Amino acid sequence: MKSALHETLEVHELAAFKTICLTTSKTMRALVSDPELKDIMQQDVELTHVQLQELNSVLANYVQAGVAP
Amino acid sequence: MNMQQADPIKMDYLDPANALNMPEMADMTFAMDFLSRVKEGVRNLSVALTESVSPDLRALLRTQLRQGIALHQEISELMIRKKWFHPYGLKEQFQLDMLSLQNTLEISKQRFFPDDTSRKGMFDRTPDAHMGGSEA
Repeated sequence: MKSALHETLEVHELAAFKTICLTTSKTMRALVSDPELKDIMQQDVELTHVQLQELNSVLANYVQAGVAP
Repeated sequence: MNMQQADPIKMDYLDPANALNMPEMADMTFAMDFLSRVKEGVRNLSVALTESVSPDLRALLRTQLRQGIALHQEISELMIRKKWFHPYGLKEQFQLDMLSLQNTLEISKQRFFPDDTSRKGMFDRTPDAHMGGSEA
């Protein structure tokens, strides 16, 4: 994948944010009692997991291409 | 140990009466936290999208942005239905936020863990021991 260094930094930022979100949703879900809210949070955990995998593979490509700090 | 507090505690957490509606109030807080995280995610993705040029990355970010917007719609609709969130009623939203503020202030005054809860010394090493964390 062709890329500029500033794109790497943007993706890095997004990945760091999504990591926090995934951890928070995963841990807070255990404290929620409402079944519908629990359900949406589970959806979020699964979605963020996939998104984070995508960002991770993008970053891995950047590292391989040499456009990473 | 000093148990004196300048600010008196009105709420007694050992009194079951104060646990009334607590799960619902907690759920409202978790939902609000969730909503603001999803909202921030959508904003972060839009910023990143306008900063990127490569078509592949733009396509990926656009997909994730759509997913984030869909999730935001879902959580806000749930919160409106549950009456946790009143985007059309500023008065109700204000009263609800003031109530959470008061409750949160009361909760923050509680001494939930008066004794030392440190687990230091119970493990054979710290998570950063391999990189000399204790010397850093």
